[in-house]
Amino acid sequence: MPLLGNEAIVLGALESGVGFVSTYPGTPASEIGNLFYKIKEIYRIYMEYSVNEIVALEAAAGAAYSGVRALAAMKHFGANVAMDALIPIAHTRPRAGLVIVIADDPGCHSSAQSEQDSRVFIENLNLLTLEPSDPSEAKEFTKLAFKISEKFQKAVIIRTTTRVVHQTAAVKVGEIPKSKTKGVFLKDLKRFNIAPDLVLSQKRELLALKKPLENYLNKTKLNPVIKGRLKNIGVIASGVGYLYCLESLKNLNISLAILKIDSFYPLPTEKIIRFLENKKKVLVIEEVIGLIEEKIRAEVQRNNFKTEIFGKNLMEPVDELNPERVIKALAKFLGKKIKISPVRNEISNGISLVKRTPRFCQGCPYWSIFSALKNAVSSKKVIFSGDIGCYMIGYFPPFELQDILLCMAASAGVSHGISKTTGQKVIAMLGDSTLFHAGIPGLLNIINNNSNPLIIIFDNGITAMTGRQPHPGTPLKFKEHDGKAEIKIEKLLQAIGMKSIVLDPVRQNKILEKKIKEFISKKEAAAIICRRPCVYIGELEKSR
Amino acid sequence: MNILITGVGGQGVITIKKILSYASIKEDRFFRASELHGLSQRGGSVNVHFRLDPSAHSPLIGQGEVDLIIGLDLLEAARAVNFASANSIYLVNDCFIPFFQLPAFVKEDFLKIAKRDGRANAKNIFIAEAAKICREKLKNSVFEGIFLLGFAFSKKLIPLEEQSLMFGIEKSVPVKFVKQNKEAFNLGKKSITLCSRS
Repeated sequence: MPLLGNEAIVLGALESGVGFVSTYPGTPASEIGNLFYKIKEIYRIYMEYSVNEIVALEAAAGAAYSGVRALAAMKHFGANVAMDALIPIAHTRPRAGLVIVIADDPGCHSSAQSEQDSRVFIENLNLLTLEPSDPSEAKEFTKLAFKISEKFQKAVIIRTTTRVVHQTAAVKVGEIPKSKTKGVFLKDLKRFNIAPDLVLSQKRELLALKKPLENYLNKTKLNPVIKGRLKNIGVIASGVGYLYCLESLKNLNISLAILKIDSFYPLPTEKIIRFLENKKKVLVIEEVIGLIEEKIRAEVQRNNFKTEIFGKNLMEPVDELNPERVIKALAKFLGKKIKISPVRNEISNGISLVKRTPRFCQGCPYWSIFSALKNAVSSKKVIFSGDIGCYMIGYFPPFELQDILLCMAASAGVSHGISKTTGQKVIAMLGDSTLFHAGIPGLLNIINNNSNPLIIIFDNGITAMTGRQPHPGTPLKFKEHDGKAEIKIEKLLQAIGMKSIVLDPVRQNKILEKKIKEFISKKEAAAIICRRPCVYIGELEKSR
Repeated sequence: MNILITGVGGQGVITIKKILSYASIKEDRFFRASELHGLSQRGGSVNVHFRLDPSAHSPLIGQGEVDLIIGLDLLEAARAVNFASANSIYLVNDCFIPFFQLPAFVKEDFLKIAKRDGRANAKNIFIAEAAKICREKLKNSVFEGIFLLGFAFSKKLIPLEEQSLMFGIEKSVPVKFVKQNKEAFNLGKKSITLCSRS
């Protein structure tokens, strides 16, 4: 059947008998959770939208420690949130397969924060890391990941990128076994504890797995060498870069030897050395940073080879790769001239092809919040500390009401710092799902260390931006299949000693305006919870 | 065969991809597709690269290598010109999803962009009133993409069998909308005279 790379990961996990799945929505990984959410009752597996990525990962680890095969999925920034748990988890030995999917977004198609290359910190984990190129591999690698995770009793990482997981191809459906969703936690003091007297020996054990993992992979189809007619020139490629490379070589009508890198950790060092041995020059094709390239250079030096290495000198480490960038790099590498039609200017013949910047849906309650904000305060004087969610559209015209945007829930922390150091008025704009995800510590800090930003909570009852997934505050009637709580933000704020009022930003728009004016002059921090459901609440089914 | 489908979130670009995917599988033909829809649920551009080609490796179509552009929106179709060559065929919905930073983008604007530098051959451009016809006959413009698909099929622009495409529709749209989608396909098939060649 036709599957997206992300859906193929779900299929691979099902065929591996996964019993526990946890995630926090984040594109380009969102479809993994969405599909599991839709099918969890059919296949009788446990799946949850966790409060954030570190909780999702810890929960998956707990399940795997108890003998239940588990998968946690997150986008790259989510993996940053999970990092505190991820490194110690790498030192432990799960009793069932534990697979962690980390999705990068070269080209920042759905990620404002940065073009992060997660492989930089993945290296620090010393865990098997597989990088598929297409949906079929996404499925096969996920299955292999579960198998190896159980054989070596270690978590395994699947690292993907947008063009791999948002690629569709025909994928064969295999047998889906009955999942085991219940296990037993059997005590083993040194297996799941990270302690000062253990951690260094655990690290040695972890590092010692590198060679056996490489040997194991050498017996599989992974990291294949594709033979070519040109003897002393070759390409080493990973991820979707490998597919662009094949396409380019076809178009250039050239046959080169290619070493495809499927395992970023451990790299197939023996194969790399054999590949480099008789090569005069090698081009390395990989998304974003030239990490594999640097490792290849190190092998050249270590083995006293004369091989000349090309890579990021021909493809700058910014923005995603595409067929044009790769064929240009290959042509330069091979000293060939090629003709590529130039990219046309976005403005031509006096007609401008303006980019469609994101905007609020028709009927979105956030329109009314921004209009009240604009009417209530001087946007020249007040600082607007923004956050991640649909309301970051407030950055774009016609609002332009967002002075700062960093990461999930940073609005609270940053507004506190501004409030403490300036006499300026600050408004922190924080969404409901974002507040549950990471905002509570920031709000506690404001109360405990006494600053006075005005907190505007954009409460539409759902994690809207990523496709309307439920969260702890989602009204129960909209989450029959997930979660048993309906946390009221006003009660949470009351518990930490922050005054708040709840208003419907549409029906009570004038009152909202008045309250913004009133609250912004308060000496202590206070919150206005603007509560009105997303117009598409309860429609996860329609999301892709 | 390289098909580029472009439009705005909510217009059904991804549904067309699904239909073509299932139809290709039905005929046991190799395809690769790539979709991009960052924040499309909030009015952004959506595009799908669909490659029905046993030798396709890259999920993305190269510049100048697209055979057929199915544009559900005039502005989004104009954006696709970078992938077009003189032989590319444009099949464009006469529809512009309004956007506040741009007052309007009409058929003539699209034609100016498509034809500049002599890139697009006028006889290869078809502009269909798919949205309007679907609104009139099916009470909803949402079927416009399937209408264009039917039109493309009747012009032999898509090398897939009708029954495979019907199978694709059955597999890709909710059961209660299958009938209307098939109607839209048939409307498109029969509407050649309603579509102007520019």
